Amino acid sequence: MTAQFQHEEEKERLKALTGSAGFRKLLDLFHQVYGDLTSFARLPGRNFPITAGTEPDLYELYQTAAERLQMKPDVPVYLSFDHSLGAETVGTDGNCAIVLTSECAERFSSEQLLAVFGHELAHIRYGHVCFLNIERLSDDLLARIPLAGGLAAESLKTLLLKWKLTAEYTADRGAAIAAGRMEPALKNLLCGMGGSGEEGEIFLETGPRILPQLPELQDFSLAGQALLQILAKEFELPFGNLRAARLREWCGSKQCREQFSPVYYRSFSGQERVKREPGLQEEKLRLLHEAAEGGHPKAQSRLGSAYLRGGQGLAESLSWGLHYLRQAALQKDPGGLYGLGVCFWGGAGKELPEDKKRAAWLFELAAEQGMKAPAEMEKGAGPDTGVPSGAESLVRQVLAWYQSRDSGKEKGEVCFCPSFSGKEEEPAGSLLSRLREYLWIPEKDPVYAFEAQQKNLAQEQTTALTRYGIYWYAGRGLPERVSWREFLAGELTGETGGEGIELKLNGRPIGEYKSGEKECSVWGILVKIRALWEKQGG
Amino acid sequence: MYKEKQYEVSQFRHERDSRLIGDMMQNEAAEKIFAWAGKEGLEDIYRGMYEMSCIAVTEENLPEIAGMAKRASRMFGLRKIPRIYLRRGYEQTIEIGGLANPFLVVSSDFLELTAEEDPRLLSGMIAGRIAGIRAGHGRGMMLFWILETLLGYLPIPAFLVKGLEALVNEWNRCRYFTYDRAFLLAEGDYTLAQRSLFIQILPGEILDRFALGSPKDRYTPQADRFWEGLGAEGAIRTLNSLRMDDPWIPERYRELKKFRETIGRDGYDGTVSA
Repeated sequence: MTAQFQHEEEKERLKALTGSAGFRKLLDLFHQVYGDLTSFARLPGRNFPITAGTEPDLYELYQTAAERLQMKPDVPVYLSFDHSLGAETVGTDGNCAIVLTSECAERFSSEQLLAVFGHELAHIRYGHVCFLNIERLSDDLLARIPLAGGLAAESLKTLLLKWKLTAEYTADRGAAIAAGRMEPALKNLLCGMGGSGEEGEIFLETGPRILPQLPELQDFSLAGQALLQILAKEFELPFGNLRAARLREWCGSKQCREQFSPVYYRSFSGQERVKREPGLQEEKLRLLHEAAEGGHPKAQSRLGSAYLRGGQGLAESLSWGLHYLRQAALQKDPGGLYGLGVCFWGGAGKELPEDKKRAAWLFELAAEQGMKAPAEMEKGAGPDTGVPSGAESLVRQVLAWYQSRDSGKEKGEVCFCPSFSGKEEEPAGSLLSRLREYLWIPEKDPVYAFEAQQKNLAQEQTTALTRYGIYWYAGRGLPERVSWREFLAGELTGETGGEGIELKLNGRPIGEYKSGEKECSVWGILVKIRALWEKQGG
Repeated sequence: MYKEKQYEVSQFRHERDSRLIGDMMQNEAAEKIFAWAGKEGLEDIYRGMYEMSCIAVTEENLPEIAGMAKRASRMFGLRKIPRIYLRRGYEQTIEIGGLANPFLVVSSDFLELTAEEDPRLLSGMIAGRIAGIRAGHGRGMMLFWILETLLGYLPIPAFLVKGLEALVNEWNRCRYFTYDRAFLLAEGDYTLAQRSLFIQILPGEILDRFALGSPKDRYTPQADRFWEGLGAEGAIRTLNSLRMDDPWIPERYRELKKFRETIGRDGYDGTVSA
């Protein structure tokens, strides 16, 4: 379910607005006058499009922001040559574009740009675009309505202004969610008001100021309302301090903690709140977040896994889980590498398409860093992993048969991982013991297999048998893999070719072996296992 | 040598500024406007919007500017240091707002522009506006702003307002003479004071070539040409300037020069240096 962050008063203000007959007239007029969306249609001719090809860095930020807001990045984005700070959404709901100013692109950091995109995307998500445009054009629209003027017109503009303020509160929350914490969104507000953004530190340290509460606008006289409208249009960022205070409040709220945990724990406000309440579960999470933000790889991989699972005070978040695992993986943390590999193995929603080759590569890297498979994998999670029950005894029989014929001899085509299980039921070094350990290594994963394979690079093709399947390395690219289930149940054919028999599984070449009895080839063993399995009825 | 001292209003307020402020405050329409504004609570709204929408300068976030305001308030006899707000996208440099409790509005774009300049330039301009608050410009600015933005809402006969408008427009040009004088007294640097007139109009490197305020001042001949006039052309030029409410640079230049000559090279008790 998509997490919601709409400001609580926004719906109420929107209801008041749309309930007004005057506003409905305004809405109709807006569609009549601006319905052809001329300004929107002109965008491609007048502005620079931001796409993966033209501005990959900016586009990536846009995609990240959309991902964090659980939206598709399907709204076109343009860059305009403009000295103002910020962005705007042009068009109407369902047919709009985001226009970012060049001043923003030059001055803002990546996090701040994430906040800018998040702000606009939030407006799009909650259907603000049309009403925001009406508010902006209200003077012009009202001038076209005969006899519209005086208190009625001012009251309508006041209703629009009231709604707009709450819509901006919502969008500011979207900015914080996209940036992953409050500070970039706050910086953007401060820059819009004329600051450098650095005042944010001071703003936060001195605590929330007692801001003049915005009184009920309808209590103002006609001139008072007019004055407020004029000033609101004159200021580059009207009510900026009010918005900053509301954002700060929300980032430290229970809703933020439960639904947008990264924002809560990564924001000053959330940290401040937790500091005031030591000893809670939150304190542990705060420390974990601080460590992760500080670049501690173990903290990053742990936090990444925690976000993928959700629970225990953290909202489930695929994008944040992947974010932290990536950070850990970049530092070659085995947990991060392995966790990311697991995500690639099965795919992870829209954010991460399935990529088994990449997953296997990550497993390999994890093993290089000393990774041991987590306990979950030992339970044979997934239909594809592990040896089907009943096959173990078959393998033992086959191995025993080979051992009786070739005892003491090791063949270069079969690779073994070092033993980590510590089980020495069979004499150490025997084919059976090594193969069994290799086959059913609880602590092992495929990556160790490749480590061993790399020591036998002289071989044209090396094969590894693991708990998760059969891996073979053809000397280039990533290793190939087939699961036990596939191997035992798929269509296996053999064609005579070269020096031996070429095996194909479901039409896919998987390896070859020599048919002579004196040869001890792992594929030969596997074919034997398969034959026995079929004889048993599978 | 430059030394700080306190100044009385009469020492820096320009005569025309003083006369016009007096005329404005005695104007019947002005009295009605102030009463109406008070009843409507306009100052609260005006100030409240600034408080809600702008960054307030404090000793923590912008200590240099806060320090400049503190010094100027001491120098020009303001008991309470006015609040200062930063504002982005503001076409002015530094302006006065508010009525009963005037405040200053500083353009953040102007701060960026003057970042490479001598810090005394900004300090002098802030001092000028603070001196203006001391001289009662808060009320004048409020009138100016109400007439400019809320004219259609005033419950006052149009003919009354017309007369006041002309006064306010002329005062709006002349108030800068007071700021320029206060700048000179605060910073004691005539060259810098003249430079401040042009800072928003010309780039710094071009201004440097003018050598403003020095014996080789290249602007002086140009300014003189405006005043000598060329018959009808000169008269039209002068008339146009009087119609506008924007301050006219040649006029400010001349007034500042006269003031410097009045107070002498050493200023009041050695305040002003060459």
